[in-house]
Amino acid sequence: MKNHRGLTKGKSVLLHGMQQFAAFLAGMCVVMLIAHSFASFAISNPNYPSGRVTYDWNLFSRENNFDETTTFDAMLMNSLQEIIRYNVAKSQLEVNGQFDGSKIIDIQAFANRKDDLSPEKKSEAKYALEDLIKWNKYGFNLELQVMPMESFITYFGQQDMQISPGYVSKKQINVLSKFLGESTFSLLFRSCEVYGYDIYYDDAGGLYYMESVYDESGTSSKVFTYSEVDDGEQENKVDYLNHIYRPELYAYLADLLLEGLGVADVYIDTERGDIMVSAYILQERYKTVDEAWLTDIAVGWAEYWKLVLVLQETIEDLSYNYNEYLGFKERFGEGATNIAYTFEMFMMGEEVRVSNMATTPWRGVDSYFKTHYGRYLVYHPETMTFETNTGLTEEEVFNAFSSYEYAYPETAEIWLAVDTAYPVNDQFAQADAAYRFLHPAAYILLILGVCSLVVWLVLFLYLSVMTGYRVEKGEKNAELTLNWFDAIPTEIGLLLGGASAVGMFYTVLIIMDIGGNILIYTTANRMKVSFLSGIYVMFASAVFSLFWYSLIRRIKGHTIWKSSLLGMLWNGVFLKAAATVKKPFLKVYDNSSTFIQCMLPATGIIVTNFILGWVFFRAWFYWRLWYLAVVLLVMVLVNGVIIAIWFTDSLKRKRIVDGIAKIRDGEVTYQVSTEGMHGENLKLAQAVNSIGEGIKTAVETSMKDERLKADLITNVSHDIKTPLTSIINYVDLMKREKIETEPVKGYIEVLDAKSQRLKQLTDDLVEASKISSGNITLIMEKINLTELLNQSLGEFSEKFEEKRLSVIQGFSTEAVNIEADSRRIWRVVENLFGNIYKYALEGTRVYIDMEMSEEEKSVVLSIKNISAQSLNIQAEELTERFIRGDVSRSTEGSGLGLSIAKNLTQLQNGRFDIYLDGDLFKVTLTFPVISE
Amino acid sequence: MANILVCDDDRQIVEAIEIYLKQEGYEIYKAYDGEEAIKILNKEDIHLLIMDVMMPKLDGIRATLKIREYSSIPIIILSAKSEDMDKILGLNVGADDYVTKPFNPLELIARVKSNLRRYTKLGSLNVEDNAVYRIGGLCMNDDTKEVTVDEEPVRLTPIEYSILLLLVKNPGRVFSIDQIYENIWNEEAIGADNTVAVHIRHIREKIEINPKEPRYLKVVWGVGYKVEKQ
Repeated sequence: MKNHRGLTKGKSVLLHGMQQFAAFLAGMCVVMLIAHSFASFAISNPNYPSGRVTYDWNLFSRENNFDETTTFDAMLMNSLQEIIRYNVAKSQLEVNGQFDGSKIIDIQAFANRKDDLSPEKKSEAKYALEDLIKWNKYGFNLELQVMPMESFITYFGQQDMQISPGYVSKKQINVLSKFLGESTFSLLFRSCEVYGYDIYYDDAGGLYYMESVYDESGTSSKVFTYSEVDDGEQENKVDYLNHIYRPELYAYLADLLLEGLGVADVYIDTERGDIMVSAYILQERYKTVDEAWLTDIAVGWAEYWKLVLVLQETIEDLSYNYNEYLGFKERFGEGATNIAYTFEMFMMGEEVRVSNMATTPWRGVDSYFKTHYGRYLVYHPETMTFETNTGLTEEEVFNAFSSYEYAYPETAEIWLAVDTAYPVNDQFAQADAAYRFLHPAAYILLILGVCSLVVWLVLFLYLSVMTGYRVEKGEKNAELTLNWFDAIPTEIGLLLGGASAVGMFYTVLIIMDIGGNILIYTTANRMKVSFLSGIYVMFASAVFSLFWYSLIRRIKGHTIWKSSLLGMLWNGVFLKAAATVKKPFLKVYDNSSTFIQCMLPATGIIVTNFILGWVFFRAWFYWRLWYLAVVLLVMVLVNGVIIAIWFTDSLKRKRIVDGIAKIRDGEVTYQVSTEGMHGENLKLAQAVNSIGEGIKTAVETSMKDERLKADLITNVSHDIKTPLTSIINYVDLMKREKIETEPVKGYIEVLDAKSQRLKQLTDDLVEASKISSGNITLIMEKINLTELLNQSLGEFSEKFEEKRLSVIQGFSTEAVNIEADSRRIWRVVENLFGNIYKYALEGTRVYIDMEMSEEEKSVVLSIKNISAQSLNIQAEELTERFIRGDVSRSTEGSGLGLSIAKNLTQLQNGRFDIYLDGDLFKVTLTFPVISE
Repeated sequence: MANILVCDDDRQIVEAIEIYLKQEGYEIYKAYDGEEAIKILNKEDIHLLIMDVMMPKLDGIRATLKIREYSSIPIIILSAKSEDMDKILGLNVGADDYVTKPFNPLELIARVKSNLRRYTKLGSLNVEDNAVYRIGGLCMNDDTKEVTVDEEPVRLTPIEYSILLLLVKNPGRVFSIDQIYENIWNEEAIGADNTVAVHIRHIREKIEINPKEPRYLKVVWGVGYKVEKQ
């Protein structure tokens, strides 16, 4: 178990708390910034159809005071426009500065007020102001009335009737028939019914058929066809209807209809046998001031309809203005605003002054405005005077007035000011308050918000790393602790988390909506909204943390899969079920004979394929085709499963084969894993493993034996050496006695020689047994073979001279480097040269050659000499222990020299070969060369 | 003459050694195990100790360790154990020399003499000439062209002297045959043969007690020759 740093419970709670508090601060700061960055107010301005205006300002603006900002200017401009409209409304609704309901309104003049500066076109339609406003309040209704055409004409007269002779083109008919509908159409044309057809003539004598076509649902549609053919039979029918056809009248009505003058329809009522007119008639709620109805005043339908429309417009305009007027009065009336204004103008020859100030001086108004308020604007268009300390330009102000030119002629004089002490709590005062809060606080809020966010993030990362590692007080090792929440199945956790996220998202939308509205309508609630937003963000962060940290803990504890429903299902049901089915089957399989083990899968595949093949065959004849697909699928699946079983089986066999190869290559301790093996494979693997173990034991025993042998020889040689020392010493002492008597002198010489040989023999024996048991350590280094030969020849030069052996050197002076143990390679050469000294025929030549192989990968050193005795022996036997060329050759030597040389050469990665050819004795040593 | 203590559990060997050393004029004390050797050592004025390793009661290695606690007399170990490890162990625990059984009596005598000389005479010689090179008991005086081994003069031919001087001047450095040839003959070594090797063998025979186990002039087989730093 790795050591983790962990958190104590107290620390954990503290850190989590800190994180949520940071979320609270961050949320609050952000919302506070947003909430204070704008102000929203009611406005009556056609530019703002929603009736509200929202002013925002740069969070980090440099202006210290609100009245220096462009927002202030925008507010002032909007207020100016409103004041202008207020005064227009006042002029319409007030008499002597007071609202007067009895004021007489000439609707014709009112509707045309913008067209003419002095409306001369006066009508008789004059109403009391209050009547008009009430009319709007209680409903200005037009009623669709149906009356016979005769009465319609009588009532509204027809002096303006325009009669157009009726030639209608084919194209026009198509258009008309489409837009007018059948009844109107039939009025405009002569029509008759012939054999189920409606037939119409136009004036040019063309003939139209209108055929009713009925569809399945029973509704009919009309199809017009045009024909210029006119046969006599139909002529009579058409004549019959002529008496009700009055082209002039229809043409007039058609005009009204077409011009959209309130006539909705004209048609023939077949029951009454009369032509009916359906038209919009005004419900006249009030009479004019002259006690007259509108129908009395109007001459003809067209004029009536026009008056109705004018009246409607007047009522609507006035009512709108009245409502606006009431609102403006509240906001811009005396004492309701920080704005002070005074307008002066000549209207209809008299000087009018409008103002919301209790008192204004008649003279020196300019200086009064300039000195009494913080911000002022003085505008006299006639003298081109424009003075202000606001950001408004003359053009803007002029444009504001220009749309109400009729109310404000160029002679008007305008004074406008804002009291920047804001004694009244109006829009300016509220905006100023927000700005004054925001301006110094913006940076603090921003920094606090960002810091909180950073703190939140840092804690978030830190806790993500540390969560779950709980450490007890005073202890060091932390343990991964999962709480009850982490035990909830993963899917449910994710589902809950997802649901929370979605819920949170919608809550944010709802809160934004509500919060936005609250903010807009009560800017005073900014602080509350900010605080609540902070609480909400904290709550959201807490919920997120709950799920997030749980997820992290699950990952750390590797319980995501285990604690998930799917994982439980897999582990608890599927795997268990698979095991239950598998166990008894395998039991039977493992215990059955090889034949059955072999036949089982084969039988399985044959039987399934047979059954399925039969089913397939039957299905081919009797069933539908898609059944075949299912059968095939099952077949493929079953075969696939069996092949998979065979495949895994052969994979396991490969494991055994690999194991055998490893054991063969000397890794005798290798064990084939029998995991998942059954039947034959299992037996095979176990057999291979036991073979490996057997070989291992055998090798170990053999090595132990070899070591024991070497130890035995060493120990025995020690024991031999001690008595041998005495023998040698006393023989030597006897020699010193200078005994000249024969044959004692000869005996002593024999003793001397044999004791020396015994000494050599014991040394060689120890050496040979050590080498063959591998009980020596080699120190491999770079050896120059040429140098070695020269050194060796130097050592042996006198011995060779003694036997009159001449050495023929067949090697160059170039260095030939091999890798060998310096002392051991010398031992090899020493033994070989020693042999030459001992066994070579006196007075012969000794050849020493050295040759590089092809590609210079190895060097071959060959030493040849003529043996003094004939060599009636096999070459291999020479290197066998205790076997010499000829037992009678010499008393010197142990017979182990060649054996030691060969073994040492092989230990040093060389090859040692002996060739015997008659009396020629040849030894070759082959070593790999190390390249420079 | 010096007193020599010979210690071996094989009485015949002790007696043989006694015969040889008495002929050289040494006074011989005999012991047959380690404990006895220590007793005699404490009682008599012994100048050199020849001791076997495998002995009853107290073996040679432990005896050497004990003796070295208070005495610095030369100790020659005489053992049938001829492995490198045995020699290293014996020399490391404080023995001055190691002779394997069966030994050549003449070699043993030479080693006894050498060790005695080094023990009795050589310790105080400090006056050094620039032209005097000293490697252990080997001393070469380049002014007088004299060579001594353990104070015994050695006669070398001029070429042998030059070769030995070259090696002694550069102790520890391995010279190949070619390098030695070029240095001594001042000629390029074309096809250098075994001349140098033969000279070296001669030098070894003159300055070493046992030329097959040289103390000073060592052969690095297949590389060259060197004089060991001491």
